[in-house]
Amino acid sequence: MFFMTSEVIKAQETASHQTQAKQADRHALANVLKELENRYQVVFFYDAQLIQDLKMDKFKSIDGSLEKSLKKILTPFKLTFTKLSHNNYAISSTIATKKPEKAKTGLLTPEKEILMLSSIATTERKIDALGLGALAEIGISGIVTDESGSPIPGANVLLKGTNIGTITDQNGKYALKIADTYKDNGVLIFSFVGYLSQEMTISGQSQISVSLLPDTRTLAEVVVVGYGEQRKATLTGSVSSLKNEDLLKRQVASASNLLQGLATGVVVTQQSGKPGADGGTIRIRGVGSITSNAAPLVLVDNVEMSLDAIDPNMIESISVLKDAASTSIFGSRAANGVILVKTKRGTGGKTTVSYNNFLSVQQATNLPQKLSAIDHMELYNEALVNSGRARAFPDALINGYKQNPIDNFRYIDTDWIGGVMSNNGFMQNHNLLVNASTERVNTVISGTYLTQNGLTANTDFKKFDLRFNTDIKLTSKLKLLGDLWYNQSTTTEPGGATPEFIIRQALGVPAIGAGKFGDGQYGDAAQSNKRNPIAQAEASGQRTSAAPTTMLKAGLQYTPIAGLTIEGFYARNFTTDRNRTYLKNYNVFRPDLVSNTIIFDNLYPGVNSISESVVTFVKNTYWAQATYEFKLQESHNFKVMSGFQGEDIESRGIGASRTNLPSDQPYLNVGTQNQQNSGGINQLALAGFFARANYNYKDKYLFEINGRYDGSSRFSQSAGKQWGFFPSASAGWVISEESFLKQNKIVTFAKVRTSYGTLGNQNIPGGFYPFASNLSPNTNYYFNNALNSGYSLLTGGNQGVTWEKSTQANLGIDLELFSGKISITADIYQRKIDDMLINVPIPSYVGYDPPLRNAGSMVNNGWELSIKHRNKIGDFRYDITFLLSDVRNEVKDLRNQEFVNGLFLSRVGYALNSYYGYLTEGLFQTTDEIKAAPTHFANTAPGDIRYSDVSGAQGVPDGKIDQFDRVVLGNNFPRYDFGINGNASWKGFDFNFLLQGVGKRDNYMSGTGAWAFFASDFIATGYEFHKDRWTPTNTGADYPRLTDGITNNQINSAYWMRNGAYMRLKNLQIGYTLPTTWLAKVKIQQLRFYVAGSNLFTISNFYKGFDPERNDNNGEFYPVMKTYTFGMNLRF
Amino acid sequence: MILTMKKYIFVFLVTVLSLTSCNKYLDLQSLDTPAVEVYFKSQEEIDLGLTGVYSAAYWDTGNNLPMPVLLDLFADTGLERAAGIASGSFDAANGTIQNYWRLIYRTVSRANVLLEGMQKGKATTIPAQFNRAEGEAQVLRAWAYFHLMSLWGDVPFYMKPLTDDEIYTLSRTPRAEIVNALVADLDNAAAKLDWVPTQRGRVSRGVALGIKAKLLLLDKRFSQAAEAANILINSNQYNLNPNFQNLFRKNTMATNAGREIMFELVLPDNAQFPASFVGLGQGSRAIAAQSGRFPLQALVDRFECIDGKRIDQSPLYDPANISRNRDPRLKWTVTIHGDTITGLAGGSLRRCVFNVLEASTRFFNFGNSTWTTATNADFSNPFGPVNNGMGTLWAKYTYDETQDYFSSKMGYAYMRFSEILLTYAEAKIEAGQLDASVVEAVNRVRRRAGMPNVDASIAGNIAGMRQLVRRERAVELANEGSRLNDIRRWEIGNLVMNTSVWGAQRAVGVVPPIPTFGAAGSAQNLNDVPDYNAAGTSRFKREQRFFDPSKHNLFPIPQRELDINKNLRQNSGW
Repeated sequence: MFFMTSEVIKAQETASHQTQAKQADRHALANVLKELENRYQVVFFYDAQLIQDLKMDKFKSIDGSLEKSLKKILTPFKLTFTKLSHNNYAISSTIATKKPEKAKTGLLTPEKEILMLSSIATTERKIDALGLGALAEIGISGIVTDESGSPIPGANVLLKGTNIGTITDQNGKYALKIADTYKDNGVLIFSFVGYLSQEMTISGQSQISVSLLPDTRTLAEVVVVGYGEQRKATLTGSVSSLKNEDLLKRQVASASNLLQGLATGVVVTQQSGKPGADGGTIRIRGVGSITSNAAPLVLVDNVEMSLDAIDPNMIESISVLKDAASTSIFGSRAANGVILVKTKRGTGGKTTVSYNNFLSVQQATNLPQKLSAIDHMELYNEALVNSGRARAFPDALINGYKQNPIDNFRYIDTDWIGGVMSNNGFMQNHNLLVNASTERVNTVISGTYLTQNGLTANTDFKKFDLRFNTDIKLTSKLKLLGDLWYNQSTTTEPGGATPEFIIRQALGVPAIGAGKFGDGQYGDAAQSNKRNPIAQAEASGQRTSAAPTTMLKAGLQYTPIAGLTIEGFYARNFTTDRNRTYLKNYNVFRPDLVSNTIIFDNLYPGVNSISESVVTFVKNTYWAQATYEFKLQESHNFKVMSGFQGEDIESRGIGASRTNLPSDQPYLNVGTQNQQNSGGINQLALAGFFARANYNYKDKYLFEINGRYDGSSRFSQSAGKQWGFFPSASAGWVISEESFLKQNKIVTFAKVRTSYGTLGNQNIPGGFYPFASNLSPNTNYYFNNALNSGYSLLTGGNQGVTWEKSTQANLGIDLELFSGKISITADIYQRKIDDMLINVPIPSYVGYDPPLRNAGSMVNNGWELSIKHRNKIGDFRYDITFLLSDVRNEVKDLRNQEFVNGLFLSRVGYALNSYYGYLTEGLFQTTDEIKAAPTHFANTAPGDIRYSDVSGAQGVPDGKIDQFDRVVLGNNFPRYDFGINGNASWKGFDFNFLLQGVGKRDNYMSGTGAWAFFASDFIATGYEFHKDRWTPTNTGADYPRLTDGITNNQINSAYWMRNGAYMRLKNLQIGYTLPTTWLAKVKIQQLRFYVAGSNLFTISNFYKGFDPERNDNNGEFYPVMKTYTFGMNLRF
Repeated sequence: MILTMKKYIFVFLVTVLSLTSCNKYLDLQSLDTPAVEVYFKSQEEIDLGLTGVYSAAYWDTGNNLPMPVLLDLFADTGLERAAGIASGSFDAANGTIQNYWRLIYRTVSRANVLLEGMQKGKATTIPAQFNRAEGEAQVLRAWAYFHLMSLWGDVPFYMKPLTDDEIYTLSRTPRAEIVNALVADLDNAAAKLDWVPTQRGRVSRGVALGIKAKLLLLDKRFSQAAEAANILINSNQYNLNPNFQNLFRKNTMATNAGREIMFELVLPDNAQFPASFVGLGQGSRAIAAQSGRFPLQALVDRFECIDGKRIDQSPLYDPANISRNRDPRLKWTVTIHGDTITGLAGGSLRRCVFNVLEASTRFFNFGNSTWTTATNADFSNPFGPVNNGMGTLWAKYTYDETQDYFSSKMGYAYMRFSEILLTYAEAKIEAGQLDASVVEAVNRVRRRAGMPNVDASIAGNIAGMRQLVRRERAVELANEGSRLNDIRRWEIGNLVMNTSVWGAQRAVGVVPPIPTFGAAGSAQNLNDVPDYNAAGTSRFKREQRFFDPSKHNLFPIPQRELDINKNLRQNSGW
């Protein structure tokens, strides 16, 4: 069970035969190489045919360094060599057709790993062929495990000073025969990629088992960069990379949440816990646009996709590209940073099957407490009286409540939150992943099934994900890649309203409203329209959205000569977005106090309906590139790359609806009335040419330039706005390679790097044709009682609209201290955004919505710091990473304008969309105080907010509170985003935690979330915290006097802005891996169980009951979930 | 060297070719939303654009209510359940006001885009059809400006799509100038239109002239206003429909026997939305509607007794049974305690006796034609006419047994001939041209309602006729959106709005005193403004309204507009 590619098998067979025949021939190249192998204790990999019959004219001296000698020997034969690792070299032709697969500089990628292991097999066979077996031998066997005790298949076992060695089998076991001369002083070297090599003296033992430690030198990693890979050590851009192991420590339904707290400069905020919509909002290095999409570009194996669409189990690695140097290769779509996801590919030359699952229960992290029925009546009466109105609830009724038990008939005190959030939010996830790998074909097949229930009835999310990633080696130079992906996500919500609306209503409707009298007998919720949130959740039908996506991708990778790779693919994504809303009506009942029975009141809503829509998206992606890597004079390393990418999207939709479904059958053909239909089509095309060149001198001085010429159909071709060029340059200096630091024991690695470049953003709002003034076809009207179609201009067009441009400068440093025990990465950057597209507000009298204009600029200044410490004390291993970043946004230019949009202001010198409103000076206490104060709004009374007279029409305080007194109050940008991530393991136990938070942030509350008896669209109650309202006897109150319909206290002001800083335990996990010795008997490689919790606690001073992570809460939200999980990982 | 050159040429060619094909690849235009520059070329496209202009003239703020229904609640005829604009407690940032501004200007904008764009098709379409479309768009634009000026006074005025510069620099044009321009434009439009609209819901020559009269009245050019109205009257194209109550029911609106309904909203029967929630939001809670908009007692008491005398002057008035012996229009305008009401709600026909004094009331069982007593939601519902209203309900546009409250397709009349008659009468009186034609115009309205002719004692008396016409407008046009404009034109806001909001009798057996109407010759008396201060707790009463005569006669220009365009000036006082 060895890992070998067919070529190498062939090579070794041929080689072994030939060695016998030409053993004596000292001039045969094969023998020369063998001699070198012995002498330098290295192994060469080559295709035997390559050197067959090659003879040296005369035996050249092999003095001096190995590499010098090799070069001398190989060059006349037009052969070259590549160093694979410290004792492995690949030999290949510089012109000819054959060469070892994928031989490149640098440390090992998975493909290289296969190659290396296969070479060991070669070595062993060679040894046998040499007849060493004839000598007296001893047998040594053992097992190689990783730090957790799991076996390591394919680990390299080599007798030091010889070519004798083997590799471990799939159970991590090895068996080796060696000459008995080695039995005392012989040393076995155990090594495996990603782990530190370990040497063991044989000392007469026949059983030697070792546990390898991971190689903690993170800089040795290879990271995925735009259209390629690069060693972290020679990287000049700012890239955060995460591996599968890091990501899978959290159990989430949406992959975007995995990034939270794990990468500096990447701020992920979770705004909702709704099944299917609980993904995080990702912002890399602040917000890069006002109106346009500020989300980073996410490419999965070079195809643009949503991060949340990807099954975390299939993710091999994620790279977050942050600065211009790393992103400008993506040109017009890179301005907000780029996230590259690499999915798993078949590897290892064998078949492994793993099964991972988790089961979770979820509950809301935080909810406010509502007023009870009696409190509601008393406080509402107070509000009415304060508003100059009569009391609505007579004392007799309130006393009745006080003296009688709640009977849900005469005396109703409904627990709306409990009634609406009736589910436990059960979530389960199962993943089966088969890695089937042979010499020619490597396949990974992964299937995942996830279900997630919501807190409200009829709210859930189901995901089914199936992926085949296949690599087929057609010849030694040509590889075919074929990927198939199918993903079906189905979201269900109540038909009558969104869960967010239902929750806002549950928070808002008064407790005196009837919820449910019996099974299915819903009350009117004290709403004039009888809209009952419990019934809305339970009995209003369903809205289901399913978006099955299929991706077919076929690619070729061709390596005609060493160092040159030409590759390309075509991918076609189909998404069929199906939405279906079945609006069911339910009966509303009411207690009839005359007959003492529950009687039918009304049907809500009056008419039931069904509507369905199907939107099909087809996306074609074309991509081709060539990469050439070469060296000049040993120390000059070059890599150049150039390519093309094209992408086009077409979406076509149809929709239909009917009402009055007689037997409540939710099917379109059943409806009898209002038969309607709709349709639409949109197209988009993008094309880009890109190129990159890297140069480094001895891995010490690093240079890189990138450029992309990009075109987008979103802009006007006739106005010449479609194409843009986006270049970048970067440089790095690996100081630790300099002689003065080379031997330093403290600083084991040090690099400074800097980059500068420009990027674009074409992902702008305003539809697919923002350059044109297009008429909208659905502005209908009615003549003779019949619907007529109409065409109207709803949004203006702007021929001149073009890219948003961003210029980014970055300065960073990477340090490793004490051989990797401490690693530090720090970056400081500036992101300047120009030609920012803005919906420059136009006066409403213009009569249509404003077109986008490239009319602004702003800057994000920020820094990032990451400090990681790893260590091992006996069996106890741990690491802890501290991440901290900050970014400040400042608007630089808005063409002499400022944009007020309700609460938000964009003004030069301040952060984008700053909070804008009045400063406050506490609450008015007396009417005399009001009289003496600047003139406030009508109806101002004691207990109302006192606003500050900051200015006036003439720019000075004018004794009047009006719009001139509004000032910038703060902004919602998170500052000092931090994460503390810790891992520890001891024997079979492992432990992980993630704390995440924001050090400074303003957050605003309004609407049903903040104000008593306020909801714009239903009849509302208040919260417990409203009891601390101003009254003549409670003058130090937190909340102003209660009112109804008087809006003086609801004006945008500092009163409703609070500190939204928080720290949250995002994840806590404890796992146990069963010892391999127990599992070996049942052929199980690994079995691990774990328990985990997420969002277990939050420290914050924000409004009680509301989530500080959520922006600007107006009471309409779906709470973020607190989750308790049990899971297992099984591999066999 | 040559090789290198060839190489370069090759690379150059490949690049050029790929860029050319790329340009083709990237050349995408919207397929289903045509660009305005290439549209409105054919009659069909022009008509689609015209429908778009009409769709902007619905001015629904999101509650399926035509705007005039809400305008009455901003005056002294009606009340919103939650204190709204009428309370006087609002500022330039008020969302309702901003909404109307935006919605009404949308009509202006769409009409301008169409009127300019359709000139492309002028040469290739049939002139009559082209002219009709052009005329209708002009009338709708004037209709929008009329409302803008009546709410805000001087407004930004433009008759062509704005250029990029004009968007930010437009200032307010004085009302008189706008009226001048619109009067000319309406004359031009009227010439292109027939007297009868080609389809129900469209505007016609009559509407053009009607708006002209309204504009001139708004600008207090009374003799011109009278002339414009007179053209309409003398055309003999329009008359009053025989029954007042049938003007507010779907099927009889369609009949429109006298063509009294000149301009109307006709909701589609072949689509679920929009439905009208006028009836739902006015109707009784006891029959499962959701009363949230209420008439005031001041309106009720403005209706004369059947003898043509005001309630404080008529011997027929019975304070204990206020609906007895009254102007028949009262019953069809306001539902008063004791009235029997019928409505279709949630598929069931329901009938009860409207009762605001008792916790139970009488319900009719259509199955066995008997009456039974049951809980009275009008009394108990916390948001019904007792706990949140005035003890009365609107009747106009509320009772149509063919239309379910939840999916009603009841339309709404924007302009009726009776308004034209009263506009004529007011304009003639204010112009000092009181003559027999004025008395006849008023008599036509009164006679149709079943009221006696104008008493000979006031027929020649300017003050008497002025009072009568104002009273007649109030009762004839209640709940049709004219009152706000009327009290502004008559400058009586301070008189009628700076007061507590009073309602009907509140308790069984406690008959409130008859209100007083001020001394003879006083503004209060001239405008029939009842004083309820003697009523104490015998009447429903709600909040004190607040009216500042220095600013409340006009709405404030929305703050957002001033924030964006520094050339705009706010109305005084705001």
